[in-house]
Amino acid sequence: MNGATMDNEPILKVDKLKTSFKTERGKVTAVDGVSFDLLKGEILGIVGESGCGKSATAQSILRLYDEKQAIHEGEIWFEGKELLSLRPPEMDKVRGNDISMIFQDPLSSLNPVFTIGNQIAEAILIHKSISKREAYARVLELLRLTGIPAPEKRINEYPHELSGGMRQRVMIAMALACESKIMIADEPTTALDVTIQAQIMSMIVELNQKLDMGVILITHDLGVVAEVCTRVVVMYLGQVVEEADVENLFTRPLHPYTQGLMKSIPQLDCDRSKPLLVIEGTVPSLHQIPEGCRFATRCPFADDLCRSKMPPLEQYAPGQRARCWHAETISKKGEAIRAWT
Amino acid sequence: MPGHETATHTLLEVKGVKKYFPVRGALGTTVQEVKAVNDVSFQLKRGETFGIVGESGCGKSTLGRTILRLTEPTAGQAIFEGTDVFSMDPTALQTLRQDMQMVFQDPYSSLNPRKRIGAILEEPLNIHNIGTPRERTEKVLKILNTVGLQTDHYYRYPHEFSGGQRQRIGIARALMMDPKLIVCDEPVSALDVSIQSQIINLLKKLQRELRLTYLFIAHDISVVRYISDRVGVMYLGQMVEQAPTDAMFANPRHPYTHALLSSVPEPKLHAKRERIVLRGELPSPLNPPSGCVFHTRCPMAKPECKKMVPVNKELSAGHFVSCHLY
Amino acid sequence: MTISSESIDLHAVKSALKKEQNKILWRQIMTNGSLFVGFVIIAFLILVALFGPLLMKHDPNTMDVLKRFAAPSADHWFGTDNLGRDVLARVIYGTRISMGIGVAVAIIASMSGLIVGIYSSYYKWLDHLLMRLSDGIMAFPGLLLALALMAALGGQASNVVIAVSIVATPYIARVVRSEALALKEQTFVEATRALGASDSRIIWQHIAPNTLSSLIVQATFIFAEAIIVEAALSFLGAGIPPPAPSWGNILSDGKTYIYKAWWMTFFPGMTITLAIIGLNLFGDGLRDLLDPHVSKAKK
Repeated sequence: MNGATMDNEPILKVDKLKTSFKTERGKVTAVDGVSFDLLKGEILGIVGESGCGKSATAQSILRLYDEKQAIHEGEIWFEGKELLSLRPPEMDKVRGNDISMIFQDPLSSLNPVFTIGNQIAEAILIHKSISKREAYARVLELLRLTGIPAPEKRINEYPHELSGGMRQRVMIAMALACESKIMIADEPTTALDVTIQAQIMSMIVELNQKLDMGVILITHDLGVVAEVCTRVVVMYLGQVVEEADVENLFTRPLHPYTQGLMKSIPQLDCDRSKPLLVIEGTVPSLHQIPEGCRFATRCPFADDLCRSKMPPLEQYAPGQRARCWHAETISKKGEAIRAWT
Repeated sequence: MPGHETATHTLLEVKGVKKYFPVRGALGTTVQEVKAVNDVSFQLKRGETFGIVGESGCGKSTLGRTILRLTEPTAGQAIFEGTDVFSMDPTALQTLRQDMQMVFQDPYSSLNPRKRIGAILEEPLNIHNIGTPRERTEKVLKILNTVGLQTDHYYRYPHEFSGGQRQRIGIARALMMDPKLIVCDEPVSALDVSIQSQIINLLKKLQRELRLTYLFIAHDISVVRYISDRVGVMYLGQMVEQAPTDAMFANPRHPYTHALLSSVPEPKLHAKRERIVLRGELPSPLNPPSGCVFHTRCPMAKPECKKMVPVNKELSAGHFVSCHLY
Repeated sequence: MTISSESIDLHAVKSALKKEQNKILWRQIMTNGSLFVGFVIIAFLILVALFGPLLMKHDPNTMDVLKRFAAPSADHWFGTDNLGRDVLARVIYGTRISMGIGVAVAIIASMSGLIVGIYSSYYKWLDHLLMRLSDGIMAFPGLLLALALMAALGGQASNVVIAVSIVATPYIARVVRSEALALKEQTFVEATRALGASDSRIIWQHIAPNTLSSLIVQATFIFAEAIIVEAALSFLGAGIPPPAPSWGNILSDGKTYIYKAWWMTFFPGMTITLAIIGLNLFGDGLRDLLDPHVSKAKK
């Protein structure tokens, strides 16, 4: 198992988080009652496709949304503090310091007119009152930690002079600047080549183990999840539909959406003559959320119960929860295999 | 394998294609050249799918565009059914466009936002004066159906559709003139995972039903493996290895192919293979390394790799490699 | 399915869809404050320009020497000027002249700006040539250039239109050119080339229509500018020759008598202000209306 330690207390507890936005077409709830814990030292994956609310969840944890546009409900507990009710100056102390974040596109996340040394130093100096010289020494240390070669030279370079992989390392260096306890990585390697992705992901794992830093990894790539995550939360249209540790998720996925996702991805050893599994239909719009189970419109197992009542997130196996009326029967009777092929 | 008669007829032969982009200096003279495609050759047989993989900067997209002459080639030949596309005059090229089409990566910018779908799809027929107006509309409706869309979509605008549907429209547009060859440039990369399989299955179905030939360019190796009969691996403008799919994946010969395949994260447990980490960074295509372009990062590099360009050798049936190890 | 039933199906579909799309458009227009107010103002002015003269009691050029410098009253709503002419009548006739010039300039500058902008964006060599020319024109302050042109061409309404159009064209050309340059890189342009489309087809059927939203917005601002420039030219005596009651001329007449007869400058000034405000509001509202419609394309 990657990086799990002895004590299993959560360092972050998200409790029934709801984030809504006011749009010209009405109120849209991007995150609808999401709850999960991040245990000490683990790498938690949040998987889902566009519109599922995974990025919105991450941004809500750090309260990155303009509070006039976004309405938050629920609670987020970190080190005895409830983050959603902190006053802005207190929240500022948490952001980048205790909890940091790296984003998908490193080029637009870095300021093009400042050197990377400058930007990383800024990340440090915002939170720690140390001298500039000490800050720059720390910058060099961080650059080495994230595997950037010739850091003395790089420290004076600008973002556009670096490759995509290097920029992402710089972002990670900034995230580590204050020895955060939690790092939220929002699709950190989606924009990178697969060989660079491999390097970045292995660095994240290494940092998780070395620094005992909790990681929330947001991605749509199940391959990355399988390699790196300890536990996984699967989201669909603003809700958590399955939560399990990585072993169980891949050996016995309970929710039809998870099963469908796994079976529709061509794998390196799949039978090339068989058509890929298809999840019919498309993700409904957040403006027109269907009645009952949100996945019912595309689920081959859906019946009237599914279409009229929303299933709760129930525990069907140790450490594994799913939001499906038929989770038990589907997996037990192997109906999964029959209906899906 | 998809059931069809043995496709032995070579539809497209690409020979020594080069595409260099000039970098202009202060006075407008060419100061440097970006060698995006640097001597690529391969053959494409009727009815098959040739997949091209590689990472950013390898030149695969440029190769696709050059073959279709969407950008003028610097050197080489692309012989389509006996005629060299690169030396055709504009009129002949225009007619040839009916046989060679492209599906683009970005479903959001590949359709004119101000035109209705019907107009977008009828356009190729208008350009080439095919059929009467009624026949054109008929054909559009038929093809809409073929790609899984509905009649009433004819009057809608692109922004009313999802990414997957727009990609279907893009595919429909490519099909309008009954082409023989379709170059698919990252057709599913911009789509959600659960939609990708829909489009991939559609492409496969269309290939069977309409006897299409695909040049499938993508960076997602699993997808390329799934849909291709043969695969070519590109690095810094060159095709370092090409082979029938099963042979390539069972027995990759080129060190870069090895490294590439070992980096793919697999959605299954305990799939940790020995991961080959490449040292160094991707060299700039302005100044590709001497000798073998891969030698600066190759774990198996020998002194001769820096000095001599490797010869393209056929190691077994249809399996070509450019590497000094062989 | 037979051909005829297909076409019947399509027609029903088409009208249903058109209704739906029109409904959405209508709602967007109705909720757009600036657009609505701007439109009302402009519509009002256009109506005045078209029908005002018919309803007029007084003639704009009739001089009633006994009633010179009369303050606004029931008989002369806007008072009379230094020659006893009814200011209201003059302003109303002036609306016709000034708005007419504004429209003419907006249309002509739009057409020439569109052609210059689009071809500049598509052919590099033309770009160098045309943009240097535009830079040259824009280097002069608009009013000075218009003055110089009027001096060269002679004082006539048509020459005012020509002069101001020349001054305004480069601004529209710029806007169109930058839109077109961005559009040229869009995938659908490349896709259309892959279909075998000719350059002119791509330029006129694909790129140009997509620049229209920016173009129209710019055109409304040019309309406003044209009114101001015409007023300034006439004020300086270089525009439409008196006694034609263009707004600028009325202002010009009134400038010597500001303390004696404030209404001679006040009313034409207010009318000009109203027209400019109306046009600017309309342009802003239009820009809001057209932009999200197109950018709604993104998920």
